Amino acid sequence: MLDRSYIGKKLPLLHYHVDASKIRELADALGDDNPIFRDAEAARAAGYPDIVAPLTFPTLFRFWGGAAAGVETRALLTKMGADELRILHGEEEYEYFGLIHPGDDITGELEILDIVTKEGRSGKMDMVKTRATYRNQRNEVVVIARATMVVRH
Amino acid sequence: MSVSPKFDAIQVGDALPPLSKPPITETQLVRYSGASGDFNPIHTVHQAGVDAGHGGVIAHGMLIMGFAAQMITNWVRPEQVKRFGVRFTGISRPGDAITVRGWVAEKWEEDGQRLVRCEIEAVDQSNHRKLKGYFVAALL
Repeated sequence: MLDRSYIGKKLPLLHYHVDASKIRELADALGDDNPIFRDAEAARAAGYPDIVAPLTFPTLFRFWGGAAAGVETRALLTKMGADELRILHGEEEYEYFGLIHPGDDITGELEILDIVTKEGRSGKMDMVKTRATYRNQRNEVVVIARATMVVRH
Repeated sequence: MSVSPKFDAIQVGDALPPLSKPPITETQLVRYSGASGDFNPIHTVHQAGVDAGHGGVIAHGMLIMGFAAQMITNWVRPEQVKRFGVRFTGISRPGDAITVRGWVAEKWEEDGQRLVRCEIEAVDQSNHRKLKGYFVAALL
């Protein structure tokens, strides 16, 4: 049973500085050889000012940025009472408003929207619904990430 | 990168170019943990995967979503993608060879944008589904 008092609670802002090497590292780990994620010259030839972050790059904001702020997914769920071995990712959804490039300074505001208990095939589980709003150094919202984390009882 | 698809040439029901990935390796899960910052041991430590009831390490859901992202940005440029969402429906393990496929479900014009909504899914070599989702992209 997770601590419901986290629903709607104000959480610390997270910060993440986007580095070209982390963009390439993610593309390498995924095995995505698209040159716009790794080669600045190829990215410029394609009309970008620099390499571009892949679509799932905002997951680094939540983990790397969140770790420093104490709101990294696993740390936060553990603090709320979850066993880390019983955490699964249920859903993830991104709404994009702009591209992310090296040098961007991202600030993220994370909210826990709801926690609902459901009966699944393998027993009861808590579904933790979150929304993270990420802004860049120009205070433009670049992406909103909605996630459902599943914590099996 | 291929030439971006044109709105007028796209029909509802059209299949997108699929993406077939090589089998997931344990080394890839270690790399993905380091890249993403998700260090839950169920992805890298065999005993933790066993203790969690998975029989061994399991892939990060976001690795599979990243494969789906690769399929999408092989088809359109990243700035054309307006929304992208998935629901994880199955666990992936080392050795699983993931294929991502998709098709055009809807096309419409709104606020001067020419949009398509595509349904996507990722399956393994036995056709077991790992995720199901969608994306919305603006086309020229």
